[in-house]
Amino acid sequence: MIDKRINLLVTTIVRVVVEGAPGHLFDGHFPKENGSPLFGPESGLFPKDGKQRRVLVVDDESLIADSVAAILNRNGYAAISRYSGVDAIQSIHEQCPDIIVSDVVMPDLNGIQLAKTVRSICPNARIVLFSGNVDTASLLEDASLEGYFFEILPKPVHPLHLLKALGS
Amino acid sequence: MDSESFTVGNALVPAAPSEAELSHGSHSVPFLGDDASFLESLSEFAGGAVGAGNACLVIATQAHRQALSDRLLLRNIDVPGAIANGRYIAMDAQEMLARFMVDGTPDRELFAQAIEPVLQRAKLGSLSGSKDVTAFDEMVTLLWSEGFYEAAIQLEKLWGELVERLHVSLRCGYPLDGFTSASQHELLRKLFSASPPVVASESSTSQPDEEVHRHLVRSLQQKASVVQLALEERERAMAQRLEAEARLRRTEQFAKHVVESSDDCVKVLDRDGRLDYMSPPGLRALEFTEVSEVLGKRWVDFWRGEDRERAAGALADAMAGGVGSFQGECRSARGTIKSWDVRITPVRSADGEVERLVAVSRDVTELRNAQQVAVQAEKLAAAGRMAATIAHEINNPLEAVTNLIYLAKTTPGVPKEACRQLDIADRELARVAQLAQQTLGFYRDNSRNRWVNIAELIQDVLLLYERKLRIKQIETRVACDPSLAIYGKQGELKQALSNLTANAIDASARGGTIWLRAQGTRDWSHGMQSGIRITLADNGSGMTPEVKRRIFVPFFTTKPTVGTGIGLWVTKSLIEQQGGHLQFRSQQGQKAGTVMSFFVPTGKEESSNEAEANIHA
Repeated sequence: MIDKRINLLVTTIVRVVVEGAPGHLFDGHFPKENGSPLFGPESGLFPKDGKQRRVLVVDDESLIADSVAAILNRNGYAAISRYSGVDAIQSIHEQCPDIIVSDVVMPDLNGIQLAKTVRSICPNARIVLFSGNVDTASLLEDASLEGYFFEILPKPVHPLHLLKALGS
Repeated sequence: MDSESFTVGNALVPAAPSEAELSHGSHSVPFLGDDASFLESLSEFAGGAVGAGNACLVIATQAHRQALSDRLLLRNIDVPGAIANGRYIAMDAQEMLARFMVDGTPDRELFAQAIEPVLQRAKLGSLSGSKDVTAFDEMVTLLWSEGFYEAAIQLEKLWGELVERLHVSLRCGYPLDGFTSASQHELLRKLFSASPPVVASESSTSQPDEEVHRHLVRSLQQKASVVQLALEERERAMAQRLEAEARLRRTEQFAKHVVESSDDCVKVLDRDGRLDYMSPPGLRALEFTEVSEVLGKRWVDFWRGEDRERAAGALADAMAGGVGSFQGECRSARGTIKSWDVRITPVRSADGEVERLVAVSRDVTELRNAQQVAVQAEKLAAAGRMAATIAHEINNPLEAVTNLIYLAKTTPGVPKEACRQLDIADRELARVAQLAQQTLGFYRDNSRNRWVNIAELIQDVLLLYERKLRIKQIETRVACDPSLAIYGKQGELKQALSNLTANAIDASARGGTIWLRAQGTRDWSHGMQSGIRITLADNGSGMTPEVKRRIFVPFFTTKPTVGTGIGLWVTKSLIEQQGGHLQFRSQQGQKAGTVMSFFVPTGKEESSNEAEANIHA
């Protein structure tokens, strides 16, 4: 049984601005809630039994990484979450996942770079990228020129769609 | 005086010789028109000399000598006295000629022998002490009039030498008719260059009462020397005038041609600002058939509202002598609105007054449209940047919230009521996601090309609009082979089809029908490419011609409150990015409705194992 409060881990302000224009259109304000962390132990190592398919979820927005991992865990996967590309690589050095689901635009190491590394360390891992950013297209094109082809889903991905895509 | 000035045609009025030129050692050659004026001239000449106490030698025909004598007596000249003391010597021209002419030519020696002693004798008789002799010789005239031109010239030359040596003032005469043909023109030249100071002369006197006569003689002299030249000159002038007229006609034709070749609308206005002229291209541009439709009308009345004020301002500027200019919109005779760039300039009369005005208007409609498109493109780019920013900032929270709702809903033990509410929340969120994609518009499918099943695509799209379709009770009829597929970008195809579907729904009335048909086909116009054609038809309101013309123009919308005006523009570009094309038919009225149809090529099959693995793994 999983019993967790849904909590925002950080106060989030989404500011929408128009380039070159003074001021901004609006702010989306998502206040941080006090309380226990939203998601629990699945951010550790994969369970050892090996029956379930192991999924590594990577997104610099921890809320997304954690919620996707939670959804997968609730649907028969063994999923863990990481909030940066560097952390994710640390994790796959320890153990290869069967599937890696990663955001593309991240601060330190982007999803494409991560995916290339995964390809070399864990050649059997399936790589699924998801992104809400139009700039992704050019990153993918660059990768394809180098001979890398990755599956990509547009954000927002509805959980049912994601589960379908992962083949459950 | 230079003899040349007398023989060239452009010296129409030879200067009268001065008294000084005539007084000593000069040799004047009058041109004799008729006896009366000849004698009048001669009596002046001789009378002047005798009256002044000088010696005078006259060699003339018998008749002329007699007549001269009579005239001198009339002038109160004491001819017998002058003859008596040797100051007036009259000799017969024929006899003198016989004394020195040898074989039709004057002999130098004989001439000197005949003339010199007489001149010397006359000198002695001079009262004035100047020892100057005034001589008149008709021998040259006789030779000339009988056609011995060379002899006449020769004699003239001999006289010239003698005159210089003995200080004689000599006068010879020539018949006028001897100089009227071109062949003798050259002889005339020779005559005047025959001896030093040969001057054309009419008379040595300058009494006022002789002015009329002087004038007559002068004109005769002029006539004699220049009549041929005048004729030639007249012919030349005529030819020049004809040439100038032809040139003027060509210039006029050229100017007309230039004005009428120009696309610009060229107008001439009178001082009241009324139209005097409008060029044919201008009439065509303004869709008038006859120039009479515009002539006499006030030019400013062609403009409306603020443009009329601008036109009036420009007109005033031009009337004040400056250049008036403005840009404005003008409605043609049939109501077409065009943008014009107008310059209006004054035309001044010779005294500097503004006589009329020329207005040249250039049709800048296309330019204006292009500028508007450029402005729109800039707006679009700005909107695109904004959309990218918004998309990025909104999609992440949407993703998180969607996940959280799912987790909440699937939490065991959630009350049924809460679960139902979460379902609603989930659906509303899906609408937000859809809205973000649609109204932010610039959906870009990041995925690689893949096989897209068309039947599924259509079902997905109809599912998106299920609620709208249900509310408007619109029936959908789909005809599609379930196996139909193309290799392309699913997201973009879906976006294109959903835009078209949304438009069809908006155009449909309650209870309308939308037909959707997809079939495999070939694109006949593009090298028989195989592909699919998706046709979407509605029996909605249809479009006006104006709307039809502009539906692909960015930011053009018939739904200003809800539309962005980029749906069809984006749709068209998405389809074209896939190598396809979009066409449409639309009409209003009885069988109103719109048919949108697009072709997309099947696309190249990529069969690399890796690609397959990525798609289907």
